[in-house]
Amino acid sequence: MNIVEVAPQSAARIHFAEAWGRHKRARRLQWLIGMAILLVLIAISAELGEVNLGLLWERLPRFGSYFGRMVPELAWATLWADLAYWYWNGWHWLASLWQTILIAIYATIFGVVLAYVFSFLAARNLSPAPWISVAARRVLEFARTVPELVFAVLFVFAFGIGPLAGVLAIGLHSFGALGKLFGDVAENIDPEPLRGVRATGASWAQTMVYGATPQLAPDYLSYGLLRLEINVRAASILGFVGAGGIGQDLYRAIKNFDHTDISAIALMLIAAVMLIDALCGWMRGRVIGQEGLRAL
Amino acid sequence: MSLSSRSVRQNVAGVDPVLELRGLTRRFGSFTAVDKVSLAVSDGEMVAVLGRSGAGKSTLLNMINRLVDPSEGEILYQGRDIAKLSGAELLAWRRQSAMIFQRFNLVGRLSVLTNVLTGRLNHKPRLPKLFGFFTDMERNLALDALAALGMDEQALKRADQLSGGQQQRVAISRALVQEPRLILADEPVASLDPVNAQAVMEALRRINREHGITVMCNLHSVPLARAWCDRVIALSAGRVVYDGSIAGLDDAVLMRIYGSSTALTEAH
Repeated sequence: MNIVEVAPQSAARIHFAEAWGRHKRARRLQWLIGMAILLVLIAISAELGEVNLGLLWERLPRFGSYFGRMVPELAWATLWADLAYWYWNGWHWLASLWQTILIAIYATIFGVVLAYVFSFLAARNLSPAPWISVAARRVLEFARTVPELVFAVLFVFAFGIGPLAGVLAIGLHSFGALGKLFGDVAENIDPEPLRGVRATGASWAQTMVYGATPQLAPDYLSYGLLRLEINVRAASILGFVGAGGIGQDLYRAIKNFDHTDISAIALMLIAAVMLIDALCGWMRGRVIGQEGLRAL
Repeated sequence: MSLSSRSVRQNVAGVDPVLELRGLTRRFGSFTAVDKVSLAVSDGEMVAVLGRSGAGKSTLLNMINRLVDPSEGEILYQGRDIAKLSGAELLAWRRQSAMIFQRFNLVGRLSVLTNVLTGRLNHKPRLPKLFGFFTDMERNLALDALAALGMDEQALKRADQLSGGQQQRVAISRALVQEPRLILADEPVASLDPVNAQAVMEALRRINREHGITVMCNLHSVPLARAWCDRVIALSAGRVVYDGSIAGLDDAVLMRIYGSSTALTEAH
């Protein structure tokens, strides 16, 4: 009855065992060569990158002492007075933080609107012509390859110090990142409703609005909110190059060695980012959750 | 303007042709889906297009609406070659030749009313419609069309909450508000149960009779064609193998279309 015992030493099995052995030896050799190459590359890059483990160990206490200097003097007896002294410029920092969040929100809206339009041009199944899809993808690649800080430096030069440069810099980068994501999502939509709208004599733009957008809206919203989280973090740094927001205050504090100011601002920033993250996560959960429930 | 106030035309088959296909061909790579089809349809006719799966029925209808471009041949409507249209003229033609699909092709997340209103996208004014604004007249027209098919109660529901039969009636409403000259129905009842299938065929027949709209309808069911249509065009491997009255659809003809006759007449 047992099929396995019918032919214990068939020619096919002996042949296979030899082939399997050769295969295993070849794989082991490949692995050894691969690991050797990897180790050599790590050693070379450590040398070129001036990575020095000894230095890291030697200077680590300095890193700790910097943090030590940032800790404010707080005594239980005079807690309120100490806190007030620590956050002596609190209202100004709060205003800057609010500006940072507004920069992120405006930049996200700017990016989402542009990316929405470009996603239909970039998606290979929706684009009016193949060359338009290729061109749109190149534009999006450019917008997302250039870092926000580089855009910010350019825009501060062009439009002066202030939040406008920040909005444009983050917005442009968001446009590139979101346009790519939106375009990829749009390539997976159901073509039948599009045919239904197209067959009524609707133009290309009308077909995108009435056939494609309803299918894509939840995904676009979810990605847009994720981008808002990322943009709040990005906006807090852009002040370093003069593009508005809390980053300018942080940069001034670091430059002037106002160590307790650094910790005060950093704590506010961390709290704000956590709050926005939680809020966006909750909203995305609601959007996705509803869709998920419906599918079940 | 309302749908019921339109002039009622007599359905007289056999007057001068309004739609004429000449040598219409469509190739997909080396495969020829529709092979030199020539035929003529008169104004107000209700024509069944029969044939096995893959015989080229869908491609034929899609070519008339120009969702699929012909490889060769002419599509003449009132003497004008539809196959050569482009740009705004092509979109205007699509409005005049309404399509109805096997899978309904509604946009699931939009309301029933908005789905019907998409049938007005090619009517002026067009720009406000890009931002979701339709005129009161158009909303009323859409509601009249839904009421004519008994779907007005569902107007504000999401389209994907409806049953198949209901969705197909919404799709017919969408076709009606296009104010078409021609309705091209691609297997309109193949996804429906027999009761809904009869209701949808009855609606198409009523539109054909009351508004004098020419209907071309791809069907899988010979009994449905016998019950509702004036005339049959049969395709096999992309070629016309029968073009004539329902009465002439005998066993010999069915053999030519399907390669078998008994299984078909007994079904349904």
